[in-house]
Amino acid sequence: MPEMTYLEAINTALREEMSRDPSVFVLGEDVGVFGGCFGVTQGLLDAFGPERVLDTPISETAIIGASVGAAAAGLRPVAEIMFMDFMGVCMDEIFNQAAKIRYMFGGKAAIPMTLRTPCGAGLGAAAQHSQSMEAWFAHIPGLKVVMPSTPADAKGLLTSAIRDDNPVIFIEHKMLYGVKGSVPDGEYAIPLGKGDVKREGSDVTVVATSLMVHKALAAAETLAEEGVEVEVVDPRCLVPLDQDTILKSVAKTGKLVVVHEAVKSGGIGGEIAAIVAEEGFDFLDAPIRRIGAPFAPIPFASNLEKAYIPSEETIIEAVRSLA
Amino acid sequence: MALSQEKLLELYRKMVTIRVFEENTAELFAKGEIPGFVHLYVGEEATAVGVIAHLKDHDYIASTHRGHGHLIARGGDVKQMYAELFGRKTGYCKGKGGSMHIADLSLGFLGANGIVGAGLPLIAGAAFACKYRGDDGVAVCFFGDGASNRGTFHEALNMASIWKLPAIFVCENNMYAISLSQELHQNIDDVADRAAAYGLPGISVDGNDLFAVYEAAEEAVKRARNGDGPTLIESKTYRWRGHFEGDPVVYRTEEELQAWKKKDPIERAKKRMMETGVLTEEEDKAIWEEVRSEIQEGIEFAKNSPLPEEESLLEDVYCE
Amino acid sequence: MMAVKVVMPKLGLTMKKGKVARWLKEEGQEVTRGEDLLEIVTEKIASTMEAPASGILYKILAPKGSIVPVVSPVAVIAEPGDDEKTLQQMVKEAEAELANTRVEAREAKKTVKEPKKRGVDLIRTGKARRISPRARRLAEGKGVDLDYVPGTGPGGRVTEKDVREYLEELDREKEPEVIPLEGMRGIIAERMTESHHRAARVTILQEVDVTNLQDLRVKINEVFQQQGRGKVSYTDLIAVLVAQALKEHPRLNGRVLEDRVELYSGVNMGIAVALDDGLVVPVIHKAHRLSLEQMSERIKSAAQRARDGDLEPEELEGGTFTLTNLGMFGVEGFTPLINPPETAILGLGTISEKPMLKDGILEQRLCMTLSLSFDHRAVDGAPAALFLSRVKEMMENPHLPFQMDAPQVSRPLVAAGRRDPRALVQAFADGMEWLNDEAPDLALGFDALMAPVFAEGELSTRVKELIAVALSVHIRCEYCIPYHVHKAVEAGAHPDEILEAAAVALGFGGGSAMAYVVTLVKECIEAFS
Repeated sequence: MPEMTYLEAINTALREEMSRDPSVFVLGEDVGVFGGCFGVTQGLLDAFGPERVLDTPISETAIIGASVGAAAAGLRPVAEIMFMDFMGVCMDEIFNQAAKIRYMFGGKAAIPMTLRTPCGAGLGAAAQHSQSMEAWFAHIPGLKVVMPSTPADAKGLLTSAIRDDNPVIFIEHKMLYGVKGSVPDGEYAIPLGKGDVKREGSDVTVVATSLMVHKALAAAETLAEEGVEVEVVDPRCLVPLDQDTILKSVAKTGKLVVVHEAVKSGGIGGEIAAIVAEEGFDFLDAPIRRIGAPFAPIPFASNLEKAYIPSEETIIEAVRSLA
Repeated sequence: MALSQEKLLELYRKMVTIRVFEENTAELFAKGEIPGFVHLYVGEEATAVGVIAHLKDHDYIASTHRGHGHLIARGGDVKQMYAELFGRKTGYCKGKGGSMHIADLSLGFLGANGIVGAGLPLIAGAAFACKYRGDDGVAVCFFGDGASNRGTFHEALNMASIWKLPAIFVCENNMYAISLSQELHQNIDDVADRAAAYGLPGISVDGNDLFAVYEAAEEAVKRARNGDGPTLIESKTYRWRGHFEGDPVVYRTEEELQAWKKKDPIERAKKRMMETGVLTEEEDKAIWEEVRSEIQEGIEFAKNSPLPEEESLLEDVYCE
Repeated sequence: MMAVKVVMPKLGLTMKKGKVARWLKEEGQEVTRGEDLLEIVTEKIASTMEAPASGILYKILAPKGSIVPVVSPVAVIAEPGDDEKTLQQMVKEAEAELANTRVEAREAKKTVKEPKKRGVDLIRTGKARRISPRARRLAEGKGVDLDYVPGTGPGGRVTEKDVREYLEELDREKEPEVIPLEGMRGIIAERMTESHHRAARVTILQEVDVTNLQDLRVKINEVFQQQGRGKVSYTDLIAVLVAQALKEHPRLNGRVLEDRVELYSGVNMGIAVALDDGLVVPVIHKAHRLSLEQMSERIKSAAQRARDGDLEPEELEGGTFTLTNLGMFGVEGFTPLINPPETAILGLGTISEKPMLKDGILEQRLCMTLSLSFDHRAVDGAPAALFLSRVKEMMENPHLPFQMDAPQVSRPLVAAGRRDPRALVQAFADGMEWLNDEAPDLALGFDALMAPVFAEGELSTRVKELIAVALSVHIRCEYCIPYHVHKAVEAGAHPDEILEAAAVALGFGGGSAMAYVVTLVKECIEAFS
């Protein structure tokens, strides 16, 4: 398997799906000549031409609204919103149009669109360019929400997202773009809604998303030296959520820590914790711990930003408190 | 304008159908037989019929919360429409959408929409799809004067303009954004003036004149099919009823309403058709009779239709 | 000048805290010494407190409604000339002090309230206990009463691990430790079963006063020590005595076989030696010929080699009688099993101090219970009892067999008969006097009860007092005896009458009554007549 970065894996999935299916096209701000704000769509314009790689005006509403319309009309748009923080601008198109059209129309329409967007702090981009808003979307019936943590997952899940007949919010983490990993060559699709045990362990389950998967894995290494075996579960998709994999793991370990970079209150961690409390109460041998960002906007100063983002040490502490 | 007698009668009949459909809906709603919100199209029939007259099967329409007229003009099935209004399983949306979300994808009808101005970017996307496929399809978006103040209007028209999308933006200026009259909600007389901002042709027509609307739409559709890009048509008209059924309508005068009723688009079309010998009084009477019975049939169908099963509650949230 | 701390006054012995009902001055207001400053409410009273100094009420530390322990600061009064820094410092200190005393008060209360811990920390019940759902489910599934499961998780939470460990322990408790009945255990089992099944065992018990034996042992050991010889134990001494007694009573010194009883004139005495896991009985051959010192050495050597597993097979054979000792474990009497095919076994119990009447005087003596089991097939009860009483006799008079002087020791437990009867009567009178002051009701009540009991009636007071003398002797009350003898004399009783009355108690108390009659009663008659 070739080694490539998370960014290259996404780019590869886009190229492969565009080559495979002529109804797939890409649109977004600066995705063409510029190659995307982070370079994810680099080279697509040359490969597929301006008819299929559309630089849009700074009009998030129109980008998503047009994607919904084009999808309803039978195409498979892959829209990029430059920063997840901008999704409030096009929220109506996401949650009142894309998410609901099929249901409102009695199943007579499909909106096969993918919305790619980078989330996450770590670049000193402050409060409006660093957020992780996945919980918003996971709260909306009709949307699928995907958060890959590795290059392979990014390729496999984006491929499935594009092929899916539902609107899929595909959340990339900007701090993962440079992370390298082996990625299967050629067609590679991971079914949406299938979690992945990134590390097996018997003592404590850590359910982590996106970048936090890597921090959880690092924490697990440290904890293993102390004799605590952590199982790291990456749900990969928040909707549909692979409850079975999570519950199975908790059934094994009896202890659960949920980690995400998003603000803890109202975060997806609460949902996962609640599912485990409801469905797996009897598995629990300790209270569930949630780790997320504090209830504050993301600060600019790098020391503050560092303090804001959940750290490996926080995960270690939480696990220790349960082990 | 080369309208055959047959085509004229068809358009006239559609206007009558809309009128009778809406009047019956008002009555049924008042009797409590229709739940939720309904927004009626009475008085605006010429716009829908005049524009949609030009559309081919593979064209698209984005409608509004006041959307019954658009679907009837597009040839929608009044039985399924009523069934949807009644929340029945046999409705267009299996009872899941109601008046505000009626859609018929087989007719390229991308749905009524509960969000004012939401259809504008959607139709840009549909127009893009037409262009992308290169099949000479066009996409029409109906929206109100109120929606012309939304950001979607700006973003969609700009995008459609730069990409020269085959779109026709039809502003049904019925003079009110819910309760706010046009002079209170925008500082222009003609919404069509806004087209200039996007480098588009903008035309303002008498929306109660079927023929004027028809002519304006004909030009716009031609431009779109020719790849010349979108057009903004403002159709000045008037809704006879309140914003929604149950609206106490405290924001306008009875005199104003009566003045507009004198400009009834159906009466005006009938007069012109009779003047040109296309329609006789007897034929007109027959049309109304036929339409009334068709509508009655639709209502009966809806009333006799089953409610959706509760098991369907979770169906169609996602494509499998 | 120095700022003054105003403290919560202690308004009564039991006052622990007070509530600030109301401040009569505000912060920043001028106050004069003696002026009313605040109102205080305690559980018992409401009171107004005066300003302890003149100045400015600088800071109120305990606002209205606060509950403050006594002598804790409630305010600071600034006196003229105080600088701001000093004042703030004082306020800070006072606040800290107030906070501290409150914490102390709370903690004091807490410690009082804390429930007494049970002996074992294992059992802690109550709703406040934290039990993980997983642990609870497991416990319910396995029928475990969680009250018995100690919690070792964070905050004492009972976790799955705790329940599992508890279950494992239960399993372990259910599983017996298996000791195969083989080797030494097998032999013990076989022999004891044989003994139990075949011997017609009877056990008789006899308490022996070993005070003299102890004195003798001390004396011998003193001499032996001076001469650099080994110490002798009770077992050594008793073994020698028993060997002699067996010579005199050969019915107990023998072997019961299938068809006959063999009696021996020579004593081969088995000495039961407890091992870590088992028991062996090395035989001291020709025990009756051994001096005390030889006996001591042989027993020591045999016991040591028994523990080391170095006994020769012939050392375990040929026994005619066995001595076994459980005294070191505090056992008094028991029913030893006979070491077959011997005829009898003598068990030695613990030596303990006991009160014992000796020549009418209650003395503290050392006693040991002997437990003699014998096989009724070979010997009957009377000869066995005779043997045992011979052993007792020898043990109680050990100087005889050892040809030593009789010990001269007396350990009177109660000095009855040695006290002045008048002093005893006086002691009682003094005691009643004291009771009169301390608990007059009790004293009056006692008098009221006694007056009619001893009043002249169908029976005269004299007769009643004579009855009282008899009862006093019977209950052996050394105060009652002189008191009632005195009263009887006062009521006109003749010394002979008193003696006869006292003698009535003999009919109920025998020897012990006699002890009192011939001592205390006699002395009282002499004193009061």
